[in-house]
Amino acid sequence: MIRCDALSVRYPGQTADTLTDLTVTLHEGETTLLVGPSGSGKTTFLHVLAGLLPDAIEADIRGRCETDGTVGILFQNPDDQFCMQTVGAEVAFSLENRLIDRSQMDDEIYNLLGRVGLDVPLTTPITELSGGMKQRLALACVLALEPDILLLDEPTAQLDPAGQRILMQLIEELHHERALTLVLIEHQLDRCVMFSDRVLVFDHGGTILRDGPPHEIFGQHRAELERHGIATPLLYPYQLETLPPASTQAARLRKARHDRPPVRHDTTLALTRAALGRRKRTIVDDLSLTTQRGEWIMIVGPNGAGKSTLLETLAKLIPAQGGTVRLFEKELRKWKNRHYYRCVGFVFQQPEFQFLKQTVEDELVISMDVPTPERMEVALRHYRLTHVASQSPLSLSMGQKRRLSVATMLLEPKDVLLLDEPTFGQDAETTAHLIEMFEQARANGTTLLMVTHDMELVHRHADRVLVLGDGRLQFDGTPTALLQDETLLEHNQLARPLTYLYQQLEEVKRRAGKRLPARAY
Amino acid sequence: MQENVSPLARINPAIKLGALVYVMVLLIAAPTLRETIALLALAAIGLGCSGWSLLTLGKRVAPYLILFLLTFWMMAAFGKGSTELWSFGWFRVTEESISHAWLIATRMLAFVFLSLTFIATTDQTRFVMSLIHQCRLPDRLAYGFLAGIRFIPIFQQEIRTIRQARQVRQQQSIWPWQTFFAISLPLFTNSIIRSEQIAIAMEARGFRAERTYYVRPVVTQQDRLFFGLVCFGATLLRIVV
Repeated sequence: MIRCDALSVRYPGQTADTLTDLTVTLHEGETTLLVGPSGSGKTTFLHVLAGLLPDAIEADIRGRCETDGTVGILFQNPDDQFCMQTVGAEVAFSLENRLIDRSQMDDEIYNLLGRVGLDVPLTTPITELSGGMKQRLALACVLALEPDILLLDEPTAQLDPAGQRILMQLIEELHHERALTLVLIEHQLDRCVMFSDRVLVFDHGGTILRDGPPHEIFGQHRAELERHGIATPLLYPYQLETLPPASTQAARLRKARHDRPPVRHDTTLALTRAALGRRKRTIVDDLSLTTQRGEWIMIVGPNGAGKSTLLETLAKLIPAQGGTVRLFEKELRKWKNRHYYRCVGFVFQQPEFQFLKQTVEDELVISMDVPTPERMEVALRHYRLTHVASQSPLSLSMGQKRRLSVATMLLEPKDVLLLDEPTFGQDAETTAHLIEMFEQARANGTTLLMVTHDMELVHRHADRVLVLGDGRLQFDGTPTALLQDETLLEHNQLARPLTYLYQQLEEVKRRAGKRLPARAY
Repeated sequence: MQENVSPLARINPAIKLGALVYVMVLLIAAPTLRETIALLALAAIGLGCSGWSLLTLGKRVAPYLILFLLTFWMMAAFGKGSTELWSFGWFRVTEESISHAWLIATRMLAFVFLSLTFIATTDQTRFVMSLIHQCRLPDRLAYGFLAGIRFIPIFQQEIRTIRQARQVRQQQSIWPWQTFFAISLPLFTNSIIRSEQIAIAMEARGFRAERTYYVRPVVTQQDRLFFGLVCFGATLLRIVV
């Protein structure tokens, strides 16, 4: 049981409370989903419940918050919650803190790893695990504390789709444990809402806007939530098959692909039988490909398939191991760096390492050929960075960092823009803003090559999609053609996006009752 | 650090460190070349037992051999002394400087061999744990240190990204220290943020000084024997040779 009474939290140096006068009681065995716009204090609330404030995190707390029993918390970033080198020692760290006898540890560790489906030797170094495996290990470590209350802070936000699926499955299984109280923040609402007993809606300023069962919150109050800029489930309370065509959910899913002029036939990059890799290891072999002006190409495939390597090769950061790579008919190694990077931009996966200056303003100044105050102002406004212009880039929020990193590449027009998972871990609002910026660049004739895991984006915005896997290019064609190829999707652990499935279903419904034309396969 | 399959890897790390440090102290105190070479031979035996194949051993030692030659040349060519053997331009090699150069270079190489032996045969977690149990290192420090080791590969990746970003954004610095600051500042800022997060994560997992241990190195008869043998052997070499 968790009981908060008139709880207020303020971080040092802040002028407003992050949580304001919160009074709420969560019962034993209940699963509660926290939703709300970013910056509404959801994470702070979890930290308070975990007992991290004010000892581990400095803050000023008023009011009371009491929890019965042991609390475990799973964080968002899989890399920032380990303190040992190997899988076994990491789980053991939790057991050591619980004063478990050494002789019982090995059995416990195997038991816990089995529970999260992590079948690796205990001596495996943590650095060798994939993001999804790391997060499952982190879950095992939290379960090792035998918590009565389990707090989950966007545990799947930084995982690829395959990793997300497995982790969500595990969380859903945990929900069935009767005595365990679950409190979670998660952006995969459609999945979570199915097993949540209760939804707490946070609003700006750290107050609770709504509190009730999911069907009430996402049924009656859906419009209100959307007005407040709070994400709502795509389908709930319906299933894909039962979705009434007149509902707002259906309207959202029906949003068709962006219509836009066909791409011009004006080649930018051309790869012929290229072999890509790092050091002596070849990751992708025999890759041939040409890109056109104003073409938005998305690259998908499992982790380690060479997606990032391809971008780095095209960015002239690592040389191709074989074959030729050309930009405008001229081989990459013959280009001078100074000229090449006027034509080609690269947005890195981690934006913080793309910044070279101390303030946002300086970052933008060095990205312009002729910086003038007027241009500066326009740029700041366009990328919504005006109010943080004099701050350090590293102090920005996730979304602001990403916008700035894109701004530094797009202030001067580029012929090719390489993007490494730019929407990864971003909220819906930032993603929409980013897409808008990319569409603009595309309209200006920039070739966009973007690595992504988001099949929804592929379906909605890509002109062309590449599937990398098993050391070669497995597919090169339109998104529609890819989404029709079941075996290819399955082989590369790709899932069809909801919008595509819904549109297919509507198509079937529309044709129902009509005579189908004979189709030759 | 890595743990090779070798008899030395089974020795308690703190004991092993103690024995090797004793040899190092003797090395510092060795006044002539003869004794230094004898101790170098001992160190070489240790390195031979480190479990590396000859090829790996060669690769690991090669850079230090270059360092050995350089040290030797620097000491020999610029040393003081009265008996001049050869001189050319600024270089002046004397008998005294040669013998001095031999001594310093050999001592350096012996130090390198001893350190490599330790590194090759010691698992970092076990080493830190044995510091807790055998040397009474406080838990908070020790576990913090272990968490820090995890950063090293992450740092390497981050440095690579910053370099790449500087290339893409065409930021060249005129002076080397500008590059140094440009790379180290974001790295430093990020590591502060990250260490805070790890501290929070450790706190959330109920970290406290009162605890049981998954890895608990003990001092066995074998460790005592090793310690005694190395110390006795080294002292004997020092006295007899």
